[in-house]
Amino acid sequence: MASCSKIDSDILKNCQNMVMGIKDTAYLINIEDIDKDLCTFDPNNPLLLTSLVLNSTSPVPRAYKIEGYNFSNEHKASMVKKTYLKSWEHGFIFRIFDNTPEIKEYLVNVAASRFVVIQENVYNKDITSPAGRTVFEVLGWDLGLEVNAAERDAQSEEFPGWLITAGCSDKMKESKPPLAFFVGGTITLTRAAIASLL
Amino acid sequence: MTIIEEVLSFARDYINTPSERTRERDDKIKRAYRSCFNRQLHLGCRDCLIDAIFEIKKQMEKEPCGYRLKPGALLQDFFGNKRPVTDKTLTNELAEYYLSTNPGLAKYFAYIPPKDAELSIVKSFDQMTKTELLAYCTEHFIEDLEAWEKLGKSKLIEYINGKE
Repeated sequence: MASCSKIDSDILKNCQNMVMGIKDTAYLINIEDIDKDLCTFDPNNPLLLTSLVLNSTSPVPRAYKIEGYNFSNEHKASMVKKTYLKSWEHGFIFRIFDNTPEIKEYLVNVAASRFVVIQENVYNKDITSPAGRTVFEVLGWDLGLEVNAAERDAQSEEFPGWLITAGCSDKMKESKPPLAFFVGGTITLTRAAIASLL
Repeated sequence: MTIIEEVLSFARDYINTPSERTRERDDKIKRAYRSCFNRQLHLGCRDCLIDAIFEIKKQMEKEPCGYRLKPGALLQDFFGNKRPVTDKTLTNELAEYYLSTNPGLAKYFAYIPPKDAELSIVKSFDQMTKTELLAYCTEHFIEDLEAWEKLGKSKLIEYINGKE
């Protein structure tokens, strides 16, 4: 984004087919656990997050894994037009295939928290170098997402577990689309950085 | 025998023989995991317990490291040929290398062990200024503040020598 509020690049045809969907594993991080002073962005593109570091408080904060099943996680991002500015809605839906007391406690906690989501796209643009910049995305970087709905339909033939819908607040939206997350210039190092968050 | 050693002692039987997987051993694996990683093991199914054993084993085989990196931090060597490291792959040697080549990376460390006390030049009382002597007295004889507070430099030195 070299120029401010002006178009400054072309969009050319993508020769690679864009694959749909996100993977079943995603990571949730409490937004207050992120040390934003140590996080870095690509100097040429503020939408490319190149380092995500957590605080070193005690107990040591970490990212929490969400494991879905058979593409049960969903993601949607959209622009929201306001009178003067445009903002961005980040949505993340995940399904919990269980109903234990521990899950219920988790639901109560997650409903009261704000969190950032790291999700993994199936689409990996690897025909241009460096490959892997389209894989991981970070949602809710500015304000964090919150749980906007949690429901369970015990009679459902399709899914009798918990359906959790997370997104931005009703009024306060994100200032940017979801961030690309790419650490150390390779997808391998990005995965290593994510593993060190767990 | 520590809980970790106990888990490692029955690890092979537990992994290979389903009948060896008792509830008591499950609890021991959970306790060992907590002891090793300082966090609770969350279970999806029994496979998670087997994964936990491998994680514990790997952790115990790892060279102990006195340094800790903040979660998510990745150190890269742009000028040399050292491999990039995260907290999970950090060793003492790599931590010292990165800190010596780029001391600014210290901000990415959650813990740096204190170095042995460095030698410092000790001044004699005669070489100290009056302010330094007063600071010394404040540090060592604060309870006798009234006795030394208004003394001149030479009297202060006499006072300190009398106390030492």
